[in-house]
Amino acid sequence: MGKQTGLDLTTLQALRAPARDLTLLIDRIAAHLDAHDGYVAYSGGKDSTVVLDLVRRADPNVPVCFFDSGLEFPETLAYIGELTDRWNLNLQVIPARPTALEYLQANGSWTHEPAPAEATAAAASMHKVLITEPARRAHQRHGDGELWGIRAQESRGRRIMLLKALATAIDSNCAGCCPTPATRRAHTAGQRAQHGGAVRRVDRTVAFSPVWDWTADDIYGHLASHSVPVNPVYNKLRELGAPSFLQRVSPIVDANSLGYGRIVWLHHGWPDLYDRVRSALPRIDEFC
Amino acid sequence: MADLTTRTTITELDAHQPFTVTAALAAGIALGGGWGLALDGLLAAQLWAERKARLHAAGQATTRLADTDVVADMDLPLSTCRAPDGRWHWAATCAEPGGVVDGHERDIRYWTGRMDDRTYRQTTTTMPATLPTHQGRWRNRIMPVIVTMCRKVTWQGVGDVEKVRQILLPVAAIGKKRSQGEGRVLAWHVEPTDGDPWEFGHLHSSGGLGRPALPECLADLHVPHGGSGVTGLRPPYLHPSRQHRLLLPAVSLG
Repeated sequence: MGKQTGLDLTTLQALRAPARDLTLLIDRIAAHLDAHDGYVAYSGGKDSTVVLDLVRRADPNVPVCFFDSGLEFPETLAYIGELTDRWNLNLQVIPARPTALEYLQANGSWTHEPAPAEATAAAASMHKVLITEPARRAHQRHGDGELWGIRAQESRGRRIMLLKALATAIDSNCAGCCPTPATRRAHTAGQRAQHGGAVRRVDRTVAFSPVWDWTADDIYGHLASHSVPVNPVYNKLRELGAPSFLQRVSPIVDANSLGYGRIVWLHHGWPDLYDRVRSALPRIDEFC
Repeated sequence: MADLTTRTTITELDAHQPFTVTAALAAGIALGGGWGLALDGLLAAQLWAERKARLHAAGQATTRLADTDVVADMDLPLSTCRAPDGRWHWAATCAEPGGVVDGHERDIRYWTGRMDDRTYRQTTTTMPATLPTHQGRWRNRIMPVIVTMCRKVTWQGVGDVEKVRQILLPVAAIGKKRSQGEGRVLAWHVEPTDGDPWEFGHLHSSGGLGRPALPECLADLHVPHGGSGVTGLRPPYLHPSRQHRLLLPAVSLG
């Protein structure tokens, strides 16, 4: 949007007063790894980069698993490579099988022919292909624990999941260790800091998000104040004019936010990449 | 149709000559992404629209592009550039914006779309019990359209100037969202000029590569370009048969 003028937002973000007790968070991460072992689920996005920055302070050798959908921005792959060198990460790439593009092609919904009925039923399993199955392989290698970068602010579903997990954790673990909430309040800030963010799944794995109640400003503030480089995809999308909720890094195409112009930004920012995706998924044109 | 493969054949074959086309715009142009609108695509679309209208008026149906395996090339009044392996493209560039207001090169606008239930019922005999509007083909939309704010766009090409002018004159708007007022053309200026036919068939006036081109086109020439990628070589640009690994234009309007 024209020439950049005015104040440097990154500098301003770095000036934000730290709103979180990082020592407590790092201690909780260390305790999580001691109890469950596990790995960091890393996407190259801003949230998981903050988590990675916190986790490496607790354990520099923790396995860092990148679930490669096969539909990543080239900048993301380069960025992860640079961060791996910079922080000497124990990076492990777990490719999705089939890749996201293979899945979408096989799905049948992206051609100009009528979508097969079974494709609709299969649509829900893209999450399984890209997340659940690679995560299962990572847990097999590294144990039941997982550190990830989901935030309650991202969606209603995540907020409900994280608040239910907090309520369960308070019921089972908080025996007077934290200040109790006032009447009609579900929990206190101390309880959130001490017990929030850990989700126990039915398969006995335990995922902990240290940034579960952070805002996007908190995230950018941490990255700026700790001089952590940010995936250049964010800056490119911001300069193109994409709204903040569409500034996402992975994968470059899925069923989310198509009606909000996600593909428009792909087309304008990465025209050759768009053309390649389009040759495999002809109906992507309908979302430009 | 003259051949631009060698620089000397152009004027020897017929009346084709280098030219510039300028579209004076009312308020910029909305583009889908990548580089500017291709002149050969614009001409081909106009000819195809006229042909399709004639066919439909005569009661003949036409096949949609997605169902057409072999696409015929329109007879454009442009020269061509051919590689030894038989691949070729028209000698015309993509649009280069001019008269851009400094600091305000792009404007982002939004359009919304909702399924019109009444229209839908009139176009089909069977309706599902529920039609989801939050996902699938009939989802509601709030979509950005990115407008390049410029007073004009300019193309270069080689061909029959008068025929090019005749095809373009009826075109009232170019780019995306024309029915919403974007890309309105105030005037067309098609002017013959002197110059190197190869340059007019490939380059912007600024000297950078002005269209997707075969690697053979540039050979050992040092022309600024936008790298290599798979994209369309000639109209219809989106058809699979037109997709090749090409050198991309130097200036992205994204």
